[in-house]
Amino acid sequence: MLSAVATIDFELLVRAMPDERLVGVALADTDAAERLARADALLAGLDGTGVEAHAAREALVRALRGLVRSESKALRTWLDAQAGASPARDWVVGRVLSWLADPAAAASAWTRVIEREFGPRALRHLARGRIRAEQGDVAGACLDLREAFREPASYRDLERGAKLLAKLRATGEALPAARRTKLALLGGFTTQLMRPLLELACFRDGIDVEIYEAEYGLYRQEVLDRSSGLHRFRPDVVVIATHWRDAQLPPLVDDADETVECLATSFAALWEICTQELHAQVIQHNFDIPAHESYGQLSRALPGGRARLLSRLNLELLARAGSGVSILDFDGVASAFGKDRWSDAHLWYLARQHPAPDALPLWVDQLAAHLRALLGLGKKVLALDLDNTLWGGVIGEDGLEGIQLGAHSPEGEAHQDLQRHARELRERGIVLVVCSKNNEADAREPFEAHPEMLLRTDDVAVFRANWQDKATNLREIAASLGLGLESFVFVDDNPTERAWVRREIPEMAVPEVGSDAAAFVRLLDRGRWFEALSLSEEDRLRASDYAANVRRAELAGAATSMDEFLASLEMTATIGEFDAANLPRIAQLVSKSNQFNLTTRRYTQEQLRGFAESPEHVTRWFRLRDRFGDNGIIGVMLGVVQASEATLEIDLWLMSCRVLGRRMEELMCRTLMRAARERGLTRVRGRYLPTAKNAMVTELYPRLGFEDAGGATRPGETVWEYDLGARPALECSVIRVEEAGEADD
Amino acid sequence: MTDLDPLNERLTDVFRQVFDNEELELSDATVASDVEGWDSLNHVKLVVAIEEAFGVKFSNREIGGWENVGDVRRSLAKKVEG
Repeated sequence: MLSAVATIDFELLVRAMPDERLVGVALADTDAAERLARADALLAGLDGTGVEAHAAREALVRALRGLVRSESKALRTWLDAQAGASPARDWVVGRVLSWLADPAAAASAWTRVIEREFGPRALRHLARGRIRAEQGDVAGACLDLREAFREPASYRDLERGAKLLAKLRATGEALPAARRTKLALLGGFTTQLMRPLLELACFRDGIDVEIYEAEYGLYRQEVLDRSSGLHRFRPDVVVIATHWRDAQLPPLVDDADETVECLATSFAALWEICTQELHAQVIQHNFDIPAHESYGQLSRALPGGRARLLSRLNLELLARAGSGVSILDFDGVASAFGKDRWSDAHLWYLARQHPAPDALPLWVDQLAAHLRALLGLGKKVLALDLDNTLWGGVIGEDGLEGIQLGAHSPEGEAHQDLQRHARELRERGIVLVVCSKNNEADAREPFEAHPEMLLRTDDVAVFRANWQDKATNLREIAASLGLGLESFVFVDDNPTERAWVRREIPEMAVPEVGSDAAAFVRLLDRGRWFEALSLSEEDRLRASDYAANVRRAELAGAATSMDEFLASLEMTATIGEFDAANLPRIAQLVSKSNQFNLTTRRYTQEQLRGFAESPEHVTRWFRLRDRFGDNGIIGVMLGVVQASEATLEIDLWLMSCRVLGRRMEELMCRTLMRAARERGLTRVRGRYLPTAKNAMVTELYPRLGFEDAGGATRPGETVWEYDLGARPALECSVIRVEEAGEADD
Repeated sequence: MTDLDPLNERLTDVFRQVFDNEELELSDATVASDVEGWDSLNHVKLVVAIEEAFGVKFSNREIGGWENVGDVRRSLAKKVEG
């Protein structure tokens, strides 16, 4: 038998057919020496195919596993010869070494695989992450786990990632996170398979999430019973994950209006308890409309048909959602995934599992995008490459007439659609910037002179076209906007540029949009980067605002003194107490502001509403406009009256970085001091609580004349007081003040 | 069965991943109580993982008939070889 097959050229065979069964058969029933020799030939063949042949490589790994116990010495010698020879061989080395207890050698094999970007991204990073975790390198393992899931992944890979995350959490070490939140997961169906995936998605997005998972089907009881686990848990966010069966609709009802009304009311009642009693935000899932109905198309055609009622109910939920409640489009996720595969009937009967496991990643990504929006972690900037991204071809070589753009060619149309998508994002407040390797004059020409360009120079807040590397350019763009690099999404057709930026700026989102323009919009949108729960007037103003800021900076260059410059801006501030109309924007600022934020306390909209109604609290919002435009609401303050000490303590003080250097902070502080005086208080106390991002306000209180009061209870915290009787009132002459509602000043 | 019966090797691999135990060894007589962590949740995960790895679907009748690893292997063999 052996002699008969020994003459087969496995290298040639596997090159022609890189198949896992072939590898399995080739290595079966062989002794160690023969198996290793054949494995070598197979790897030579796989190296020559030019495809990754992941399954065939894994079959080879499984076959070598059989030698781990009996022939470890021969195996080790063989592996040492393979290491570094090719990425496929390093993959095998990394896999097999994990059974031979040599983590250091395995880790360096994986590092070589990772540097060559070989094989499935999730698996190579998970492999190194597991080794790092076992070695006690939690920080390193966290980096790998994040890298593993930068791109959308399959259910199976996410489940593997969730296992590593569980191990990292079990170490008790703090994992990197920008936000903390307590989330209650109330499912009309089993959420046990989905929950670890949600934890992983939160980890990926910088959210340290603590989850309370209710038994399936008990969401009403959990909310209504005040002694339930949900009420004891005190969540920040309540996720009500329902599906069509929870509506309990027969295929046809007589009174459609009443049915929709009753159902919507029953859910609204649950929301009210969650928002009013638990002070939690609610994420309610709408109803996925089933693909299979006994009434068929009548289910929509008849006024009382089930599909029609579910559609109406979904609209009614949106109409009632309002403040503190957002609706997750579960039906939309089902459609995007494909309704025919959305449900897995046998898993429903077996375990009340819904939807099908393969659909879980898409759902979890949508839910994570909701959470990011809720916690102020949404992206704000879209950075765009030019050549072969915004248009086809290279402007510096092909010239204005040579680039592909517009309806005259399929390629040109695809590029134009990306521009349309970007322009629509800009209209809803996403800031657009350009980052291109080009001569600036060449790069600007299409914006000014090409008839098919949808984006114009005015749409772009910062235009950077030069020959510097893109990471450096992006850093400079972020600095000029005063925005963090983590708020950027970078789109470039060139995989080398994407890899470079990803490597240099790990916090920046760099989706794998490929190099085919027709797929750009879909692959960009898939990340749900710019998901928002509401659209405020400020959002719409923001994009033009950043552009105006650049012009203000030019004016600053012309003015000779700071006061002269500020006066020339003709600034007017409007000040008011927290009110219903402005609460969404106030809540957005409270959840998003990182840099000019003295205490970084994150309050929900419901909590903020509570402060507005409380006599012990002084609340103020600040709006600023100047001759270049309206900045909208840019500052929020919250003071707590401490009557026994005749003191007003500043609990919250934050300001948008867009208006830094305008003396706005003096005006804000003066406003709160006046409010304190009017209440007969004699002192204002402020606190600085350090975070990774708010170093810019470390010296704010002493700069305004506050004195060190001591009494800090945390490392880095400082406490400051201002004696209103003994010290002069603050002045701010460069900003004119307008009153709003009942606000003083 | 040889030491490298590809089906068996891959099935064992799936078990090892689901139960997160690289040392796991299986025989046809292995039952749920022999394997640490083989509870109802992991049973569902096992079904999903085997279906995904081999590109097959089991009926609830087949799953209901699984008393030991041998039953799982035979169910699977019928689908991928039959």
